[in-house]
Amino acid sequence: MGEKSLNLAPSVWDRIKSGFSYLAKLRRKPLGFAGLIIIVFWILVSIFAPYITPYSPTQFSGDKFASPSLNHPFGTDRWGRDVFTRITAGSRTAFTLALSATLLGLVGGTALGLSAAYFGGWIEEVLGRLMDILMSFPALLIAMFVLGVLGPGTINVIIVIGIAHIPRIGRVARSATLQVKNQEFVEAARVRGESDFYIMGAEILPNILDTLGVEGAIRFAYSIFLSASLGFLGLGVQPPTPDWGLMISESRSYLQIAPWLAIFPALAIASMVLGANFLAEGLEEVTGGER
Amino acid sequence: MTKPILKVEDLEVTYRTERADVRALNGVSLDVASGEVRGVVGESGCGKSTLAFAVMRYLDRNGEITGGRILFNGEDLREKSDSEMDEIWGKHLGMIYQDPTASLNPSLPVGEQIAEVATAHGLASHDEATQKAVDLLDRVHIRDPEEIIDRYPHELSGGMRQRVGIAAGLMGKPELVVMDEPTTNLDVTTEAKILDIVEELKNELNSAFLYITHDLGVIARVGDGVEVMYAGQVVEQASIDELFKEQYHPYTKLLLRSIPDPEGEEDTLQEVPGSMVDLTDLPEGCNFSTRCPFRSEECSVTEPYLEGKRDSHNSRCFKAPIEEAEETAGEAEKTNGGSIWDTPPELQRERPILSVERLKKHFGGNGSWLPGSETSPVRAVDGVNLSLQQGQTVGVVGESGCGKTTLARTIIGLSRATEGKIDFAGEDITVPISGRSGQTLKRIQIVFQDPRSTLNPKRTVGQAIARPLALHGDFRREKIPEMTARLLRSVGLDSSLANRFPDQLSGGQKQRVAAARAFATNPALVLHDEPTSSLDVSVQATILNLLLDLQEDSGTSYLFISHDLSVVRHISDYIAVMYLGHIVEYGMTTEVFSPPYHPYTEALLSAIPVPDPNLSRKRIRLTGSVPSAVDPPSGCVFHTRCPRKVGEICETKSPPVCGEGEHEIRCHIPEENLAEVEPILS
Repeated sequence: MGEKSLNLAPSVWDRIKSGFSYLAKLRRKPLGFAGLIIIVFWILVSIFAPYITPYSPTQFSGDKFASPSLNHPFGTDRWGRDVFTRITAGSRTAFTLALSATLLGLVGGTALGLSAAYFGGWIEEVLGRLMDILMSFPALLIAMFVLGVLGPGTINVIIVIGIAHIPRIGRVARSATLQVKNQEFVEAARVRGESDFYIMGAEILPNILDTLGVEGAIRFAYSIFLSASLGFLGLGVQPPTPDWGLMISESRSYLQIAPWLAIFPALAIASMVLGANFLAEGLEEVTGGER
Repeated sequence: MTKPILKVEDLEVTYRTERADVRALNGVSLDVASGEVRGVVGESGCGKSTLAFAVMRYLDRNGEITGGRILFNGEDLREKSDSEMDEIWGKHLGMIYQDPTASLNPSLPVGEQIAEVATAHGLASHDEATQKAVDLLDRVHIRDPEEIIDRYPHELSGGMRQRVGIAAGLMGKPELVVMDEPTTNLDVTTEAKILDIVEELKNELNSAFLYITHDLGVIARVGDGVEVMYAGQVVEQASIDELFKEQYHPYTKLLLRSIPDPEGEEDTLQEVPGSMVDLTDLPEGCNFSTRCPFRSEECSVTEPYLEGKRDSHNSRCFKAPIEEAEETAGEAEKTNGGSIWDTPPELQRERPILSVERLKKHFGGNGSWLPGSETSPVRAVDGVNLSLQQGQTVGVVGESGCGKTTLARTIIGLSRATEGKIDFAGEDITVPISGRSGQTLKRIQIVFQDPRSTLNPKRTVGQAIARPLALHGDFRREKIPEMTARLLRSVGLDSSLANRFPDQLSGGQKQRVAAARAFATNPALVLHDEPTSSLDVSVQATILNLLLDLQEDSGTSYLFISHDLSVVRHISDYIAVMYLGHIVEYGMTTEVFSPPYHPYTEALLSAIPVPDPNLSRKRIRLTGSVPSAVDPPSGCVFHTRCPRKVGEICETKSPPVCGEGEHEIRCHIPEENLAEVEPILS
């Protein structure tokens, strides 16, 4: 082997391979694998949403309150819009909201939790108490309050749900960091004079990613649920955007005559929440991350 | 020979794992007779603990006895149901564990736990059992047993807990006692006392003991017979005297020679080449053939049987006994592949590279701002003076809690010194890391103890070594891969290991990478904090040889922290003996190992397990345990346990320094009297 070509780091291809090896291991965990299949199914649906049905999610496509049929498998709503189309299109809304909010929570929570655990002392105390205060209010209550002030809207919903996630993710990040920070390789880095930023980012962070991944999946499920709740309350995405929570809310008055208006969005929400939770469980077993 | 109480025949144990079935025991046969201590020795992974747990029928759920018989009093334990075993456990078959903290119930007083063994079997009433527990605790030399029985495990020291564990194991007067590394977690002075107890009990009780250990020195002390295990098989069995006189199997021979000899000076330690074979991928023929320096063609074709060359001395080797003439093959060569730096550093000897003056490190003790909350600090290091010349090694030795690790951490800057001064190459470095210059950080490095946590599991070996090069190296970036490969070769590793992750390396390889990482910045001083204490002796030998080679090439100074006097003797030019935050004796290695001794050094030396069953030494056993560093004894800190205490002066005045030249002993006893004792080790 030529010394000039000595590889110091695993190649991108190696990293991708090790990522897929996790997924391959998931196949032996029935619950986790089921979760993976459900989530992959919804990802495919959301990507190909415009090509699955001939209708538009916001245009009238037939009779009002048509019951499920071959043309309209999930029926139509009070404006005659195709419910099946609105469900597939709604998966895009759900993913956009939940993924962005989870990501926001992960970034914020990890930054706070990791640095609190790493620096310790009064920084940890202050951050810890702040998180406790934030966590002592139900997330939905905070969200309703903030959205009441800021007004509803996609961006505001993302920010509010993301912030609601921060304390819990922060807590997980902190406890994971505490397990790593006194290990000898971290001390070796301190001894050779690495900056705090480098130690947190390059030495500690890679070792808590598994745990954060598991937590992320759980928070994703919760985001779906929370955004649907906000949609239902009219504080989330505004009509006519297809949103599952909103669809259930709109169906309330017609439960007697058109129950499919509530049943199908509810099933969609339930399947995605369950799928993400199963996936979290599987990831936990496979990666050794903790929840 | 009496009839054996335990007869293991062709025992096979298989663990089912996700990857493959692992045969941990592969046809093990052995006998243990009453009144006998039969040792089972071998490196980690050889199957010795599996044997102990199989005999006890305590195997993990994924472990299964797949063949053979375990005859206990003539009955096969394999055929017993769990409820039948309940009758046998405790009453006929006792076990003493490695970790008494884990085997004792933390929420029950220890007396009750011991008594429980008898009451559960209906052998005695509660009162009788309690009385018996008191007697047993007395027998394992616990003072005030009536008071101790009401204590909880966390209120006892490690040595006391292990004695409680022994008492509980012996409560039912079992015919067979299985001991799984009962002294491995203990300090050497405590270990010596436990071994004394085992020896006494063997003579008194007439029970049979199956003693599992990795330490040949321990077996030489207490054993009657010994089984040497390798890869799930017994490779040599003999009486203690026969085994230490002549080893038939090459593995035993190499293993014994890889132990640093506390009595003598050897230049290079014998290394056992390679590492333990993968049990799922055993070689053709003899299991040891892949590592054996004496192998011939036959060895990799046919599997040898365990057979007797002389009456009771059996070995699983075609060539046994090995002729001395064949041994040239086993000579250790220099393990590292050339020096790292092109020009060896010039040694300057005018002044020490490191000098530590009156260093103190106290933890806590300020209390909070609330009035009345002041507490006494823990005096981990309490006034240490030390100096280290370039190119030399100072060994710091002492039992756990003596402050040796805190000393190293304070010097490297991980802890802030409370008082005193640390000077490194003319620069005052009595500040934590953030206050030190880049040059200083580069020039002092540390090698840690635990191979499992010393490397970042998410970064490759190459990344681990390249990082300090990138941070401190004064050369172009393109040269980093070349330097990394060079460093890997210098610690005896192939450069292709660079893109492996730590979990793909053995413990010894990880410690080599840790050494390469420390040497990457061309340091002038490397601190070693017990770098070999969690490795097998054969691996320890390779690491010690490597460290000596690296030092020879680079002229780096070492501060070597260890609890193991033999290791420290092997590697150090000077030795400092620490007790409760103080250095009680300091001198050249030969000076420390011969009289005059500090009474503490004397006790330590008399406690080292030496792999020589015929060695009779003066036995000096310290009473009690190390006092708390929160409230250390007045005067001489050692006076509470000192077997040679002079009188009141020891309690009131801190001892003066006596000794000649560089040899310093802190003791009130006049030097002439200290010099009068017989040397403990020749």
